[in-house]
Amino acid sequence: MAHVLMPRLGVSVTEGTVSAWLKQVGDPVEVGEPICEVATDKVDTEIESTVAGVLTEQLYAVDEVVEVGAPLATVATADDAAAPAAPAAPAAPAAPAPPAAPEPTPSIVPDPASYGDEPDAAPAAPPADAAPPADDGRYAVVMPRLGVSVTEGTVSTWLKQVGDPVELGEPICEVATDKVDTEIESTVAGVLAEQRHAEGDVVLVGEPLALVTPDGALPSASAAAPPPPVAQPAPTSTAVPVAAAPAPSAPPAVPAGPTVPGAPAELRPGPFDHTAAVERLLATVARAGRPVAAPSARRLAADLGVDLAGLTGTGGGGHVTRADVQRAAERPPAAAAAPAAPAASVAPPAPAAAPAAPEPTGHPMGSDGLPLGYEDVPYDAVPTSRIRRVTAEHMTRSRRTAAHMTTEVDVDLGLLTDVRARLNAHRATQGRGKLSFLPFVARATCAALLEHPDLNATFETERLLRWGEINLGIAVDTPRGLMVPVLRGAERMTVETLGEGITDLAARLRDGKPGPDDFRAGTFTISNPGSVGAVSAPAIINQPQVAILGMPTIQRRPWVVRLADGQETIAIRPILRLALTFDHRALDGADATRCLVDIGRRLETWDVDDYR
Amino acid sequence: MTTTPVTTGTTGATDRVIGYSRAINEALAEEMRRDERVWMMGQDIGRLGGVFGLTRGLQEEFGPMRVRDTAINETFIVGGAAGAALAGTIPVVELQFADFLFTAADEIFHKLAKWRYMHGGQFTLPVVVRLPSGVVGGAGAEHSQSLETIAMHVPGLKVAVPATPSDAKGLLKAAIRDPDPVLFFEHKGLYRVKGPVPESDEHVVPFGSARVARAGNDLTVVATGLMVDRALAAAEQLAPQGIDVEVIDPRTLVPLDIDTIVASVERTHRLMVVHEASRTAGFGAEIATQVQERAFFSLDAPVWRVCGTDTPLPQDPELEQACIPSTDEIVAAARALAAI
Amino acid sequence: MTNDPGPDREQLEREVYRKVVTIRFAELRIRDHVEKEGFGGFWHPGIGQEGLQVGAVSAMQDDDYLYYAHRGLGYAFAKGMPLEPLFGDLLGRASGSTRGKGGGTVHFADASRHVLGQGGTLGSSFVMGAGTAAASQLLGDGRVTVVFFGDGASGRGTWHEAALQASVWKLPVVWICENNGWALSARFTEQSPTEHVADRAPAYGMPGVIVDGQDAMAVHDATAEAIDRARRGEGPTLIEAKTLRIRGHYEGDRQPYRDDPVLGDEIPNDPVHRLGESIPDDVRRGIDAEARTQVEQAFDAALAAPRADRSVIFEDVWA
Repeated sequence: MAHVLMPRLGVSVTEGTVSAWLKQVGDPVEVGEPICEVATDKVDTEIESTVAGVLTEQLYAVDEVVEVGAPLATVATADDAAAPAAPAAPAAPAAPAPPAAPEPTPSIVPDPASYGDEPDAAPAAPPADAAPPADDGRYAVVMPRLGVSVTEGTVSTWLKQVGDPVELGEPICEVATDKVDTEIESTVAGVLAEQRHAEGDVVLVGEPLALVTPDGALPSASAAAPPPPVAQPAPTSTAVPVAAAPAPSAPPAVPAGPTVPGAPAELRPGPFDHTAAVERLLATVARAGRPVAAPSARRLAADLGVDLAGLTGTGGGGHVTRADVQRAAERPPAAAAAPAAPAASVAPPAPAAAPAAPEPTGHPMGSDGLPLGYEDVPYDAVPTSRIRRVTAEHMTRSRRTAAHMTTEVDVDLGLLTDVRARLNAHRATQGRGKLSFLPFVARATCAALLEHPDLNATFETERLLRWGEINLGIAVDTPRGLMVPVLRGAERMTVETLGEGITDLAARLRDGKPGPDDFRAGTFTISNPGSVGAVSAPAIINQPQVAILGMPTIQRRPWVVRLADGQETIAIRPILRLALTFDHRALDGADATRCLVDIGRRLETWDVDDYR
Repeated sequence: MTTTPVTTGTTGATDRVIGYSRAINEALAEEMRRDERVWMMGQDIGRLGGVFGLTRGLQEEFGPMRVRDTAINETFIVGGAAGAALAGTIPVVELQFADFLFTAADEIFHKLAKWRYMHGGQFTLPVVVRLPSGVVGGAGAEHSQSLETIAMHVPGLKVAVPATPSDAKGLLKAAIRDPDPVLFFEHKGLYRVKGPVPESDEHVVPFGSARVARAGNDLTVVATGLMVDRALAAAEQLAPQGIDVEVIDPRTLVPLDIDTIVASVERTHRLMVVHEASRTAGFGAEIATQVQERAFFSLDAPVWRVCGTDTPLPQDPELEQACIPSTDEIVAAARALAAI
Repeated sequence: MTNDPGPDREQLEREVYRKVVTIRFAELRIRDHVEKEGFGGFWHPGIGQEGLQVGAVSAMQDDDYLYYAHRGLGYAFAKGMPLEPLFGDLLGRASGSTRGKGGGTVHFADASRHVLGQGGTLGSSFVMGAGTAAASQLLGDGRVTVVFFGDGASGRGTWHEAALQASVWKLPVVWICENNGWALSARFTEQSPTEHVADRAPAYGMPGVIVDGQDAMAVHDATAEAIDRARRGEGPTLIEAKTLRIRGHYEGDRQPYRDDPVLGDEIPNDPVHRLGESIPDDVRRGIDAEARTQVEQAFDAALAAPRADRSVIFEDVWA
């Protein structure tokens, strides 16, 4: 019979709470096998048995607090088991287990008469030449595992000498490992009967350090020992998986030391990769789950009264920059204009961030309905249109719902300019109108979306709905406000059909005769703030879609181009900075960027026929 | 401490172009002429004029008692200087390589740094320890280190890290006139570099005044010693890429003119520290911390470091160069940082 | 210096006696305080070694420089420092010469009396002392630097560097080794291949002189001769004063390592007795009484002095 003690789970830990029993009474337990879970203020951990045998008692119920060093459970060892199993043994019925040493009872101080001389030492057990009496699991205090990677320790000092009384949890010796120097606490109460190792000896984890017996006598030599004298199976008992077993295959013993969660820090010399470090850093922006802004942007937002939560970041990884805050602050709280459009079809043109509904200005309001402090500023109250209010609601909802992130690429439209000119020239011969760049971009986008179906989709947390057709929304700036008509089945259209479809829709909107189907079931949207001169085009996603392509104005920029001979030179090129704003909940930046690059590649390489 | 960068301690002086070594030699000679209490000792500084030639001609002028050759005994060179300071002289001693401050560590970090304090302020220790420092090309792991951060960490020592001939001279003269012990880290890789130096016996660069080596608006780069030139070269490469770099050379690390650095960061909103010393716990870490303590809300991006590797320095000159920041690495890091 | 008895000699002996007996009372007073009250630092008693300390320092001129060792207050007192600032340092009082910075027994200083202090790392005074002497040589101020050290510190590498350079440069420095046989728990005989520290002197080209450390006047004379030699520009001398460590390394050290028969109270060859022999009883009793009073008053004053204010923490880091 032996106890499994509550180990010290940290330097400052003095107690723990039993959170669950993993072994029940009657269960066999091995050394190192978890018997229960204990929670402390530092760690939650499993307590491993320090002895092998059968669990005979759980000394604490779940949720009870156990002090470090106190016995948690009683385990009947092989020897204990042998006793009741051999009723023929003379002493067996009298005291099968309980009197066996380790009870933390008052009998700590041994009767001095019981050690020193051994008047009635059992003649049956030859004192000296007997097999090591030692490996008697009941009495052995074994070398605990003092750290995850610690396999052995060196006895540095014995604190208890043979004959000294020992309490449960009382330090008996000091052990040094390559990790820690620590005191080993006794797992058995009684009298130190034997120091199994001298100071300076290296002891493997799980090996017995000392024997503590009730009376200080070595077990095999002590007829007075409470367990039945049948305790002679000494030689064979070494084969029993008691705590003592130093067999290399034996499971590691005793969680007497703190178990360190996680791997310790390692030394990793290597060059510092600035680009990778920046990328790692930027990746944390998307993971942050909150608006991420540079410290400077935070302060500016506070100064200008801008709510960061409402901003689309254009900085690396999508973090909010000072420029973003500045733009948001400069945007008048009430802008655009008029009429109505079905709710779900409204999408934004520019890097929009108009705050909406319940807290219209995000600024304290005075009793006269004006923002506090603005009472003496002359004003003109312009009623908002329904479409404005719908847009406002839709924008804030989208911002709150989706994890907006924008990726951008520069596309050289030199070839497309030529392609478009040729196609328009051809159309002119047929008396048809000119196509703008928009249908070309729409055509390339549809082609790319077919290969990147995750962007033509709806995100529902549990699933992503990939739509089987591309219903392309085109954000249109109308005199009445922003509207987003939808071209259904756009993936089947040529550039010319797309161009004409867009023209038709725009005409119908302007004439105020759109049909309900004109706004329904969009799966992807293109916004074209370039038409009014924007040079960058992040946007707010048109719910329930997952992405929106922003098309700013085409700028003539100095550009490095490769000449036919492989030399590079700088030329003036028409450059379009396409911006793809996507919902980071639905897909990752790399996926979105791959799609965007795909669009750009088509625009840079497609000839006239590719657009048809 | 001033936030105004000071370029020279004098006005109206004519600049000549002389070498960093020559500038140091001039400072020593001028200060020894000015004050008879100033004297020097070190290995091979007298008859030879120093293994790097820094003290050439000084023994001839000032005699063997004021320019003394010692045995290989760094504890005496530094500890003796401390004792000589207590007796009213101003020793300017040379350890042949800055790395040898470890062989005189007790004398530097305990005696020089603490004697005044331990004895209730009864003594001053006007000692200058000249420390040829840094990578010079194949000198190996024990003759190439940049140990200025270690000196910074122990209170009681002033630390100078001149990057130009003008500062080498002006700071050394200031160090010799300073009542406190000064560790003077000369960069061996700069000994042959030439630059304008005012023609004046009173060209003294005050400690604790940073120099703005290049003005810029987009990124502040703090660099010392050999790294100043590399930072400047990087700035020139970055300018056409739209990154306008301001380069600040603190010139002394103790005291550290953090005000000038903070003022710059408040304009550029970005900071990079470049040092030749190993990355971990270098002075870059200290500057980064102080700047974020003072100017966190000015930052557009994390404070970045471009540093020597966390390795001993290999002896092979090419491998050695790969262990310290190059102009290319500074450019690459600045470009990466610009993505934030 | 001569050994001729005469009025000067007699006056010198009495002065040495007065200082030795004062330091003895101080030693006993401090021991009493440490035993009864304890104190923050470690008191390294110099009891039994007062004679050699006072004897040697008495051979110095006022403007000679002193680097003392850590065993007791005899050196500094003999150099003229008053007791109260010394006790003040010991007790961490603002009245200490270091205003509470030095504390314990390691650091005290008096720039005006050229008591230059001590490093906490033993053996640092070798190189510093040589440097101070180099400064004197450069300035031609005629001053000599005296450096005390123990047999333990004789193992420091700084000894080699300092002794070699001092000898080569013929610096005006005198090294005085108080060989009390024990470096904390290390027996000198187990740490030295030669019988005497002074045996090492010839290797550095300097005289090595062995003197009975319990004979204050003998130490005085040996020191005076070495100082004269140094002042004449003939270089350093190593004096080894043989003495005995009466107490533990620090007061309270139970000395489990100690196997020589020392009780800690009896002082064989007690310098106080040896010096007192030639002084008439009534004169001696008068000196004793005055010394005892002086010690008591100074100690009481030190105890009554305030502890250093925290503001001193930030003072004296920089000049």
